[in-house]
Amino acid sequence: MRRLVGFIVIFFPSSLNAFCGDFGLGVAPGFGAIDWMSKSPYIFAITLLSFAPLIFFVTRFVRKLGDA
Amino acid sequence: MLNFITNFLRFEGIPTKVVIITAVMSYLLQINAIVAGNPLYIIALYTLAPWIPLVLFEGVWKVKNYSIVAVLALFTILQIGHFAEHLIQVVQLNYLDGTVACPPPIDSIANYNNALSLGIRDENLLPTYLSVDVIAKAGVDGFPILDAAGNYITGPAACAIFGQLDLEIVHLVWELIGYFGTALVLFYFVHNVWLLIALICLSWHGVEHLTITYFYYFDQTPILPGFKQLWATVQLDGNKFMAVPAGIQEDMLNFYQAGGKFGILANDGMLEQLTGFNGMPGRPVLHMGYNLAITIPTVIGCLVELRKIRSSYLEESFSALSEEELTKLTTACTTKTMRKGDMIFEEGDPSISAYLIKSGAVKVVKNYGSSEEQTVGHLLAGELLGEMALLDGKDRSATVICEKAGSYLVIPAKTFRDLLNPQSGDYQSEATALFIKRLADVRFAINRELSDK
Repeated sequence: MRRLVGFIVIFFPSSLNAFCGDFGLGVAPGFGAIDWMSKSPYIFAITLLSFAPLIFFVTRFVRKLGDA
Repeated sequence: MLNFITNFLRFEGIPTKVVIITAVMSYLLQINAIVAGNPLYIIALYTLAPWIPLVLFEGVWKVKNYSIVAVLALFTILQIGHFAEHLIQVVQLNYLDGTVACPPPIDSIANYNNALSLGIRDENLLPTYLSVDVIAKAGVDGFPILDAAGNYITGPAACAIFGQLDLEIVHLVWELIGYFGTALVLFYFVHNVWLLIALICLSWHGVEHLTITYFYYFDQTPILPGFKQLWATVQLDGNKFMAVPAGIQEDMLNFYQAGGKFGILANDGMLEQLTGFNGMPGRPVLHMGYNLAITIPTVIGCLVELRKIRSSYLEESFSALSEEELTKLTTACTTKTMRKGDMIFEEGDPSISAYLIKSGAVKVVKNYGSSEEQTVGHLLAGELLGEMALLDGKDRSATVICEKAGSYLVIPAKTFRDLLNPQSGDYQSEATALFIKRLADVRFAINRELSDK
């Protein structure tokens, strides 16, 4: 499980970039034309950071539910 | 049915007189602010300001008396307030024809000069630095749109009540308060699935705000050509000002301005810019939705815990009662404050409740105010009071006066009798009944001794 999470963490931004790059989705077209894909590692890190504590609480909730 | 909510929301640690004086002050300040023609946020500030110290003191009191559930209630109230701001913004935007220019333009020197150059302002009326209340709609050229009669089409600044706080850092701080607050109370209320749902929503909301704030602070390099809306400010009446569009100025936009401020899912945000899809709600509506998704489970989670509320003081005083019995007793009792010289009850009054002194001290006086006045006892924190009249079914046999400021719990007669009768079913603790009876026996004995003298 830890290896899987590690794998996703390491390869998610680059695979997303490759995937989106194939479809030409990396850079927003028209107005703005900003390069969102260059931000994907940050957004991914922020997502992990925000959801990490939730894993602790969900695990604890399920364990307590089992005890009850 | 909702007794437990009304009981909890009542000011318990603040004397009633102080609450009434504060309410009157708040009301007068509000009227004064309205009459002076102030904008909505100043009226709201005047109205709320007198309540701030009371709410703080009461909050501390509640945390002391009800422990962590009071913290949960505080977060819930903050969350409801936060949601209300988002809701007001959406109403201003969609139903009052408002304009999202947040924080609202200020009657600054630049906006004053723009108004002078457009010839729509008296130069003697100098900048006030107040936020505008009303905004005139702008066309694509950045100048006002006029109706058939040649008037501006106006609406409110769609930034809720306290639009001056509509800053990225404030949004992030509110989100983090909710996030860490919910996480904190989840440590205690492990089984509360509603709080867990709230935390899931807060986590995603956190992703949006951390991303937006990241762009705001770390992507400031101007990278794309764009336009900046200019404003001119004019006085309406009193201290109310209107922002009139004064054209657009070419400017370079940074990542935040070019779409980062819309975040991931909002209209013109990451999803839409990357996919070309155009159907997501605007940021005000989306974030109201996020907050609704957070507020509903938070409120339900809080109600679930409030139903089980227990006074820490009663827990200590009646330790033999079960958790459910303590919850029932907490809901049945009310706390009152007393100041030196206050009369708790008078000799001859009908007996409708017993009292438990939480803090401070009282004296028991016979024939109060007459030449035969005699102090027959002093009672301190932790002692029961007024139980004798309930037991013998007679009127009050003495007057009780506060000697040292503090507070006491009022135990209604029925609750008190239920406590004494474990067989009645409401409170089944023999030990508690015995404890109260012994206290009463001692009091009866002292009273008899005094009567014999």
